[in-house]
Amino acid sequence: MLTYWRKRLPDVTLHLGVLLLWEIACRTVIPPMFLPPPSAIVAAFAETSRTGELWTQLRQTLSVLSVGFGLAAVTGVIVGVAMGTSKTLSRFLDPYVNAMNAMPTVALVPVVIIWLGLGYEAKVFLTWLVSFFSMVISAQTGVQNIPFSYLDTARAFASNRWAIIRMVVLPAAIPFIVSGIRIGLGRALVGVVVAEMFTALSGLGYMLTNYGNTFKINFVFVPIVTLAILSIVLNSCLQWAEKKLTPWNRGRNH
Amino acid sequence: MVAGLSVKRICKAFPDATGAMGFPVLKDISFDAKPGEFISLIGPSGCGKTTLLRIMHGLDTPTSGTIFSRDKKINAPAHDRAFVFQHFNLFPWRTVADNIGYGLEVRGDDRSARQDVVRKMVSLVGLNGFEKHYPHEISGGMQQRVGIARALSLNPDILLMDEPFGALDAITRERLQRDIADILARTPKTTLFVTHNMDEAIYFSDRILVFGTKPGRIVEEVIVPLQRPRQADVIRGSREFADLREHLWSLLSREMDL
Ligand SMILES: Nc1ncnc2c1ncn2[C@@H]1O[C@H](COP(=O)(O)OP(=O)(O)O)[C@@H](O)[C@H]1O
Ligand SMILES: [Mg+2]
Repeated sequence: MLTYWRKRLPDVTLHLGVLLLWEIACRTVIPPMFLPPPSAIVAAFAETSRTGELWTQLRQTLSVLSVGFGLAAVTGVIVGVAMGTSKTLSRFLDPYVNAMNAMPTVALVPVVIIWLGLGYEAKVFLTWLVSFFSMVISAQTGVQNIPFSYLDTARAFASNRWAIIRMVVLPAAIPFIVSGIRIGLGRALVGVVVAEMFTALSGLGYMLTNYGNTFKINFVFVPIVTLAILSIVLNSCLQWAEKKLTPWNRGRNH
Repeated sequence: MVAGLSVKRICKAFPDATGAMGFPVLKDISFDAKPGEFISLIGPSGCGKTTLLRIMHGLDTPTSGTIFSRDKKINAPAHDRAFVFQHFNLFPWRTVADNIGYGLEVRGDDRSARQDVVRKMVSLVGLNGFEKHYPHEISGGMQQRVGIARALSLNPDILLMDEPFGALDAITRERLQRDIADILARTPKTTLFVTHNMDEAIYFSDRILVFGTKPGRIVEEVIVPLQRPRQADVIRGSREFADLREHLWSLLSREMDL
């Protein structure tokens, strides 16, 4: 533990130095309306968490994110694996999936509003929509790139189709599936915030819009920093889960 | 009594790039493997040994001809036969124990029965202590022990081995050869064994099928008149061994020169 911190010490010092420079720059040359100093952001954090606003809005955002992204991950992997294992299905769905993945999904916001209104469902659906297709494609690619020898070996042991999917296709595709889920998570985070800003204002998206419109720039940085932290934390969780799920992959691809 | 195998007029051609049938890889292969017999297939690279072995297991379909076992036509892999691959083909996400138990799991054996068999197989192939290792953590020789244990765990009547020792160094190869000979002496199986190695073929086989190439065909059937099980060191010094080796060499060098 001690050696861990000793190794990190130069990095920590460096980043503290950056923060310090930022603080000094804001107090000397940069106008406060342009970029707030770290101390003002910390104060804004203290204020919004004291009033409970930060926690209320964060909970809202997490609720939309977990339902929308969770559904997208589950459905995306299922559809992707199905498309990876069935040539007919992938030939039929490929153009739609690729088109939907390539489209900037923000363009669909008005359509979603017409369909589902401005509420919770619309936000969940948008989050799902933004992240689903990229996860389909990763899972599908993972399945389609399984080396022939694995499938051949499965067949040599008289495995039926379901056994092949369960015991060979899924484990072999897991590294692809997980990296797809990580990409999907990044997109889902964008999706939630877009949804919260363009449908009924709520969550961290509400904080962004509200404090932006009232020019309270130090408060605008509260949701920004929170989103950055959220993204890093969730990504580390996925990385940890990937290691747990693929102990056999250690020292092979890494 | 274990099942034998009857190969009847097998021909195989792969479609070429244009989709038309290419030059035949195997032409009119026929032979019988008697129950419990050990047969080696030896011949130059590319003469179709792997292809024939795969057809015998039902992994590939012949262009014409049939393979029978217990009077039933073979057209797909089944659990009374087992295949050992040249390049081991273990599943990297399964531990040694789980790789060995793969076939049993597919067959639907229940967990406790599987564990019993896997435990026996692990000690049979000398992998005690490595059950929880992943394939990338063990040597090639150990990986092939896993491949062999995975095949034997099904207690198949027929064992199909495609150059199982081909990718191993000389010492590992020799040690595995002896272990396999021991195992087969204890639990006899009808064995089809592809090899490049003449000594190996003589040491193991009741019969050696020498293949020629272009198209792949059997050029001669060499009977090994030595009692099994054999002692590697004893037979290697014997007169019969030297004669057989000489004979195989002349056949093979003629095929290689084509
Ligand atoms: N799936 C395949 N498609 C096309 N040609 C193949 C295929 N498998 C094997 N062949 C060809 O068949 C011939 C015999 O191959 P193989 O059975 O692997 O020979 P061996 O095992 O005796 O070295 C080779 O010329 C090889 O290129
Ligand atoms: Mg071969």
